Amino acid sequence: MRTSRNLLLALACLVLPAALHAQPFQIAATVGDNTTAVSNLAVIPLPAPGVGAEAVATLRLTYTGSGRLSFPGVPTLLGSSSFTIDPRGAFPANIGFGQSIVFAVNYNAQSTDALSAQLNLLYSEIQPATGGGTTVTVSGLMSLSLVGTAPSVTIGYALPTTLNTLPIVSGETLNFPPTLTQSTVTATMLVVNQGSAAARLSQIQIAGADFTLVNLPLLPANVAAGGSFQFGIRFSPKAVASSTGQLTIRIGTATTITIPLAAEGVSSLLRYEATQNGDTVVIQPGGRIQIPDTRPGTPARLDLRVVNSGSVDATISTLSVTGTGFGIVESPLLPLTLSPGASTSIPLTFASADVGSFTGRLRVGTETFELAARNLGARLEFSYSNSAGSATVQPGGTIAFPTVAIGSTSEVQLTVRNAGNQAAPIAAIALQEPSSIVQVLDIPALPFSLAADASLTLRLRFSPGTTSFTSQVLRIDSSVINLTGQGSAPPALPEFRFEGASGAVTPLQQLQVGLTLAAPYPVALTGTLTIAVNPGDFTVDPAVQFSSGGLTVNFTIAANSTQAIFSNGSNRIRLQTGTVASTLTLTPRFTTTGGFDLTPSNPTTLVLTQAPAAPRILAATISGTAGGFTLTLVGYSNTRALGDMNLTLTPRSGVDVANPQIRLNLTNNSGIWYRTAASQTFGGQFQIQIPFTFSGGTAANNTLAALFQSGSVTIANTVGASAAFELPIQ
Amino acid sequence: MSWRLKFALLLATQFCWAAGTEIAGPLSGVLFDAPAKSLRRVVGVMGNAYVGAAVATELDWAQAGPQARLGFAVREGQLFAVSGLLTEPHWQALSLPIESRPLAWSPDGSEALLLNSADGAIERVWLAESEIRTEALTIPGDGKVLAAVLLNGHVAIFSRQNGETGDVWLWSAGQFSAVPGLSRITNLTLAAEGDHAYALEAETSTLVKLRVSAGQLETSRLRTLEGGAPAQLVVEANARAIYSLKTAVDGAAFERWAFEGDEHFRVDLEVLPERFASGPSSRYRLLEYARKAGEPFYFLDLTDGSTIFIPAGANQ
Repeated sequence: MRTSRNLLLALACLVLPAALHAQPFQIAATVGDNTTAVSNLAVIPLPAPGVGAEAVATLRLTYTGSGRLSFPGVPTLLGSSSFTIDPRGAFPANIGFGQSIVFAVNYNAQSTDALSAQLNLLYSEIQPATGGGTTVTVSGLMSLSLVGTAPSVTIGYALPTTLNTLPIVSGETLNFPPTLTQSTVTATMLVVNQGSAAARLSQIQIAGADFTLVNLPLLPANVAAGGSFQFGIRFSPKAVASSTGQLTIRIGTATTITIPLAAEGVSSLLRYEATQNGDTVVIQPGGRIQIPDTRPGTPARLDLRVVNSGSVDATISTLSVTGTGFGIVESPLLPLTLSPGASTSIPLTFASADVGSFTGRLRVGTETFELAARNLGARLEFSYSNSAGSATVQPGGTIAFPTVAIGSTSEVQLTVRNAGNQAAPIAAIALQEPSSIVQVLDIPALPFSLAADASLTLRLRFSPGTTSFTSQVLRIDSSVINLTGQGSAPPALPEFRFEGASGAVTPLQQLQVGLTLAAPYPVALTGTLTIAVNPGDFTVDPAVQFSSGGLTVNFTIAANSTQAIFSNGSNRIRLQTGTVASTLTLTPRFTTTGGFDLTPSNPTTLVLTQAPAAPRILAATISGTAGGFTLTLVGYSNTRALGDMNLTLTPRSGVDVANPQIRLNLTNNSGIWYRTAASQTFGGQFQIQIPFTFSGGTAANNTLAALFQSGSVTIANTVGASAAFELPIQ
Repeated sequence: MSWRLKFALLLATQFCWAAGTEIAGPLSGVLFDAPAKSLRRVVGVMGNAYVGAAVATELDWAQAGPQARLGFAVREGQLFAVSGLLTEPHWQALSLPIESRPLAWSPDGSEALLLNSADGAIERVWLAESEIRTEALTIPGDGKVLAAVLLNGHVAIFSRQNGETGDVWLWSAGQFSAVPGLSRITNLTLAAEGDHAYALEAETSTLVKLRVSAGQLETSRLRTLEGGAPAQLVVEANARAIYSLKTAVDGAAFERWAFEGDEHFRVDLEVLPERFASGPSSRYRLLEYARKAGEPFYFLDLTDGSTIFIPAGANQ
């Protein structure tokens, strides 16, 4: 800069003679739209609209003399290289009166500083001689000072929350503080010109429904170098939501500054934060606060952080929690005032012995939040349904079966639902006491896992056997449900009849009897058929038995059938009539499988009568002995008495037997026998051994077969004599 | 002494009722109640009897022969023979393997043949007076004894198999003799009368009556059975009919084939018999089945083909 000044001073000295005179031409400088007349040595400002832009000064020199004006060379510049001359072909020039030359000086702004240069142009005027004299040539130097400038616009803003003025550049987002709905917040915008030329604000626009410009002066407006321009942007949220907008500032015609706007409409000045699943999330008033999962008996805790995100103090006057299991520990003292930016924590807790999902409500001042918590685990819920409807039943509660007739069944569907949030392992489903009256059906294979929110349906079947009250206990793991029911009387038993043997019977028979209902009965029956023996002589023959043993046999009659099936698997059962004159009365008893007695008060019976009869000889042997023989007879007398025995032996030809027929009275002997206890185990049966001796000859030395060709024997009692039994004589 | 002299000496003979008349109750025999592991007396005559008190208990196996004169039992790894089961039982340990089982009983029950299933050895056991005696019987030659019958008079008939062939042997008077004219027979069974036996000729399924007379075996072919030989067969008295065991789909039954005409019918039973076994006499065949405690015993009466039961229920 110093060198340029020295050079300029030297040039001035050379052209001093002309410079001391007014220049013979007018100088018009046009910068932008303004044209002004300047004099020699004048200063011409060249304001560029911005750095990197150009300012152009167009100079028109118009000769005002009467001679000729010549410019032998192009103008020269001394000073900043940001200046250049556009001679536009005007040089060298020689012009006459009124004629002009035009050229331009360009300023290309490279900084916001003011730069200067000096424009020098030599000229010569040939003045015509006055009075015939000679022409006079006057030389001179036109020297103009050029000053190049450029504006430098900076944008700043200030928010009411801090009132700090912060710079912002084009493209950078201006974030407004959270703003209550139905309220406003205004950001003060400042356009500062820190350059060397005035900045011209030609247009300021805003976009975004929730944003408006406020306090905006009339545009266009110039911002002088070092000056500033101020306006405001108002954010007016209409809803709790995020808003965006855009501010556009146009400077001159070439520069546009764009600033995105971001804001959030909130319902509170307080910001609520909680750490959930490792992330800190903001919870809006009215929103849900999820307390960490826990298990029954283990408290869960969540700290709710409250931050005053507003620009003024916020006061929390009330703090309350509702909902089973929810609470606040170490509640802060109220009222609690939070200055802007300050925060506090509200420790929320949840604890419950029950499993499931729980909700509550937290109130902070006028703002409320939904509280949510989960106690992890399984929880079984029970409900049942039948034809009468459905109902729930609590563990320990009672399900009453609908009354149903004996022999019929009623069912209740028991639904086991896992109302918890984890699978429920079920290891046992059983009645406390095994029962044929109450059955649990559709039990899954155990152990069984009942998924959360899943259900299991069991059928509970009640099959009453009596009209008495029945109670049972159903255990599903540790849960107990009482089951009660009562049966009603079944239909009356149809008529029934005996089949097979009837009426008069004889000794030593094995008879078949059957039992049949006159019509099918809808209920499965069990029963017994019992023989009552009424003997004539007070001795009950123990041989009177069913084939299954004893005097009673069990039977069943399947539902909707008629025939009794006895314990031998047949519809007939055999019995022995014995060998004692008796009346056998067979009496049935019918019960349901549950034991309800259906036997008529005077049931039909089967009477088998064994009348007193003459004895019968079943077997006889005659065997020789020393000096005689022994007659052995096996038979029975159902009167349990014997009278005369008649033995007839037919001698062989030539054998003289004095008494081939002999009659023995067995009354006393048999009377003694049949009065013994031992005889009673045989009924009327007997086995008689009678020894005989020979006398009056030597028959003892001979075999019976040698003596007798045949023989027979009969035995009598009070009824009559038996058939003759042929003796096997060998 | 001539018969004329003998008759002369008997002139004016008379017989008199002597003192000592005894009246008691008849016992039909002794049965092994396997579920109760006991031998129990049959009180009363067949058809009106019931199983009474136990004669012996805690037996692993037992069987009594006709009239219960002789029986066998296994207890604690020892085979016993027992006599007097209807009066005073007399037990005698036998030096025989416990696998030995009765192969045949004499009709009067005084004699039995035991077959050792392990080695096929035959042991004859009999009552002599009141003593139990035994002897081993060895049939000449090779072969596996399939069946045998004992007839009164210490006579036995054996059927043997040797590969595809067989032979029949008569044991009489302590001697074995091969029976000519008979090779392979099956279903050797004692007749209801007890004095003869029946068998089927295997190749022709011809029913053969076997009778021993004067130490010789007499055979008479009665009838050829159509449809082959049944697995189990007994013959009704007087050979009026035969009975075979048949297991039908709907239960167990006898099939009775009469020898006169084409009479053939089925006798349904309450139980599923597995085989015929000896009864209290040759008249009866025990129908062995998977009997449970308290269930009756069933018998086939070979005199008329009826089945009779003996209750063995809890009341006894």
